[in-house]
Amino acid sequence: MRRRVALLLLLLGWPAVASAEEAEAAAGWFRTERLNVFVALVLICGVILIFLRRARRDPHLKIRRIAGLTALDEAIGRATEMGRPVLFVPGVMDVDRVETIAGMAILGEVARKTAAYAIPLEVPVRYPLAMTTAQEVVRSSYAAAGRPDLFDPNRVRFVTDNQFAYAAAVSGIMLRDRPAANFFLGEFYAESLVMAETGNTTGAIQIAGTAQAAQLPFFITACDYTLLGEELFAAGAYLTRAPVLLGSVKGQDYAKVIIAAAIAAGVVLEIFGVTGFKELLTVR
Amino acid sequence: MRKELPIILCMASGWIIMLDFFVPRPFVGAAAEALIGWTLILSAGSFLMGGLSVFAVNLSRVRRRDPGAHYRILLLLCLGTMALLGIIGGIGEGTVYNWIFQNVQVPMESTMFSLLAFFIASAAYRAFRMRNARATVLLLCAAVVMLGNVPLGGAIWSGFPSFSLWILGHPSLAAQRGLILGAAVGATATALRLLVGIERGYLGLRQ
Repeated sequence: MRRRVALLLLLLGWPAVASAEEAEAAAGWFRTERLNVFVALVLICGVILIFLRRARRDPHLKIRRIAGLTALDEAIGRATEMGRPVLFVPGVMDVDRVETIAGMAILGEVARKTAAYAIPLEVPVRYPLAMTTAQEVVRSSYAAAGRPDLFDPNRVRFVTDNQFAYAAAVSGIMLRDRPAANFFLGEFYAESLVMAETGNTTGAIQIAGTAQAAQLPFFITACDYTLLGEELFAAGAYLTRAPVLLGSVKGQDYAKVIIAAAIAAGVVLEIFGVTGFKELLTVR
Repeated sequence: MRKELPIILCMASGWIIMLDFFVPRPFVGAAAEALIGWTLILSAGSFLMGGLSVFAVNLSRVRRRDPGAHYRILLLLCLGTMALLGIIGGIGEGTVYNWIFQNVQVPMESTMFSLLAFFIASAAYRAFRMRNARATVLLLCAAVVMLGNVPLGGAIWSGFPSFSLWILGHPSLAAQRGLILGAAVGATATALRLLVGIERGYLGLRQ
């Protein structure tokens, strides 16, 4: 009945008699000043979604070798041979950050391997919500590896929310427990070098990864392998080899091609005095 | 359902927050604000859980007489004392809690931060060793940047400050922007995977 009334109103030209206030309200359904962000988002997400669909049809997508992730087995194998624990730091931010989410995905894979080899995995975290997430990830991974009995929730623990107290605590764990492999994968700030350099002095094999450009030089200097920016986000796909995740990684590569083309177009237009292009790309 | 519910909640929350960025309707804004408010409440409440975790983990290791148990006893004593002082006397200006925080906690934090200078020196020593051509270029660039940022550099050659700025503002910045762009696209792809519910690694699930 409602549908019929709505159709009747539409046929009678109801929109034409709508008041000016209603028209104004109708115009307020979209922030037009953010249209450029919307278009860019649709374009980038569209490319990624195309490759997600393609990955479902053809699961044998190839992505380049990432040295840091290939070394993951080597690091855990070394810890097994030495009979020492593995340390995993999923960044220093909470689970509302995408880098922490990426770190958690890698934690799952690391936990599967440590469970399979029956070696302890230490995960000190800076926020309680990150702790519950990490506990769930490690618990599920131990169960998936067929060793739920080895899961010890006390090893995935909240330390402190204070940045440098956390760095001191992690450094203390490295110096006391002497883990054979240290993983620093997530969002890091000034404490990155304190932890990575301490780990370096203990002789542990170290794999780090962050999207924070300012911290990458520190990790490159102090760690054996470093995942640079986007490699951190591709790690989950690389390790699980899940076709849909690999498809999204492939899609993000093509999204970068679009961005590079936009940059090149902007440079050329600016050289020829056409200045409006950069206005189009300004976020408001 | 135990696994599906977090995925559904995560997807719904993500879509609402993204919708709020583009749609200026009051009900969307209210929903987004409510979600952000819940996040704050959850975060604040979770610290109680965190405190209990610290207490439980350290107490169990003290009971087991693990090595370094005396440090854990000290930690538990400090944790209990600060909590009691905060509950009884408050945490404002002029309280015992605030005095301990300003005179113990803050200097210790500053000490940890200061250690960074020594860590940078040892890391720089390793990074700048002339092992190959690329390391030599790195060493030369670092030397120019350092000399450009101290008065002595300008006294040796007046071009050092501007050359240093050129290195920081052109090749270094270009490389950094490339990394930032790649990371931003990677973050967008991860966010998209979360929004459509195919990213499950953060729950310990495989595809």
